[in-house]
Amino acid sequence: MNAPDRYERFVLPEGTKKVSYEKDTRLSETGRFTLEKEDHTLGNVLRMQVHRDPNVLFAGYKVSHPLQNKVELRIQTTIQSSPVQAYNQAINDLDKELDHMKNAFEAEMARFTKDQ
Amino acid sequence: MEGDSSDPHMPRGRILKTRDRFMKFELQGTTINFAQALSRIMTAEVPTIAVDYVVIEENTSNFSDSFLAGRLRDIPLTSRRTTSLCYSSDCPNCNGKGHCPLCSVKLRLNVKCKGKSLHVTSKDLSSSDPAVVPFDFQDTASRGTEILKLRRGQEVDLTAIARKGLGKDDSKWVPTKVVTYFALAKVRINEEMMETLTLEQKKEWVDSCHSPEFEIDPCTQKVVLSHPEEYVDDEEVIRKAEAMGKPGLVELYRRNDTFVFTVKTKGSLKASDLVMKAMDILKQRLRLANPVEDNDTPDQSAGSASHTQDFDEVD
Repeated sequence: MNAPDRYERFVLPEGTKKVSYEKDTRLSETGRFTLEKEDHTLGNVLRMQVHRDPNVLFAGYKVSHPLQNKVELRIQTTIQSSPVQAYNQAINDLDKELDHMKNAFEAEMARFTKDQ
Repeated sequence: MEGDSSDPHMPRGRILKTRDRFMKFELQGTTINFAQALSRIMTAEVPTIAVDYVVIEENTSNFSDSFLAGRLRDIPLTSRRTTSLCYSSDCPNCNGKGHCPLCSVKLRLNVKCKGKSLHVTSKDLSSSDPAVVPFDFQDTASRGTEILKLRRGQEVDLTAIARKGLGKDDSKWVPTKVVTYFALAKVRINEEMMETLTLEQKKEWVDSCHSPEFEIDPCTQKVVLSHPEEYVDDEEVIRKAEAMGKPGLVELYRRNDTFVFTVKTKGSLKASDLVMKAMDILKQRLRLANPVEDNDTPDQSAGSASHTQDFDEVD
């Protein structure tokens, strides 16, 4: 009936930015990233990685409504850093982690098939 | 301020068991959030190929057309070709109609029962692409997935169009049967208290555990946990220890950095390929989320900022 199309969950409409950043007007070094067409998969893992940054004072994410396919990630850092820096650093770290894991996995797979 | 913030995790993987469609592995040195992201991607975001559209020319069987289409959509098709096939919605060749060889694969089913009865299985489907066939097509031991049964004189003639898609969109594209993970159990046995038990009592205590993971070392007569990656903690051993009047005999807790994954696939992808692809997809998703440039430079380096990039200011 009036259910939204399923592809709307993951197809980014043309002309829409994947990530947008909005600075908080009241607090310094605070901002909110909005990731379009994303869900808990990225929100949760990003928040965790941002938490590992010692300069981060606050990080949290929310999916404001199940029919709105976006994730909002709010980050507050100390004066030594900035939300954008913490965000980019988290993504780079996760990228490195994935690279490492993939290589480790390939090596392990090769070892395992050889043993069999 | 590069370099002073968090260091990335350097996880290690250990494969415990692997078959064609099954894999059990351990991820060490990561977080539960990462494990969760990986498992979510495996179920919902690894593309596969499945029957999406069925054109029925002739159907004189006992089943309705929609039932037949439903049977076909649930047959896993081998999806190693997903990288060369494009999504039908953004196919450059056919403007999203999804009928051209760039974005679809045709499977023909044309059977007529000449004998008393006929079992129509997935092996009767003939594919336009030898790389996209029902998952048990090459398996000579298997009879194939049963689609329907025909009586004398009944006939089915149809063309099924298989397309690439994501499990997020529809369950027919979900490559997995099961993906589970649990944090590895860590067990601390109070050795001193254990020594006060007789061998009989030790045996009784070991047998109280449902999964036979606790063992008595035949030489030293010490109780050990032989396969921690198999151990499913049900607190039965704790209760047994209390019942025997020895509270605190064993302590159970979960490691928050080691996870044991069990992955079973429907057959469209090999379990090991699925895990690899899930990692690639997570990486790709992170790349997409990356293009945020810093125009909000911290105070101490404010003068050195040369670029002036505007961000979307959302009200």
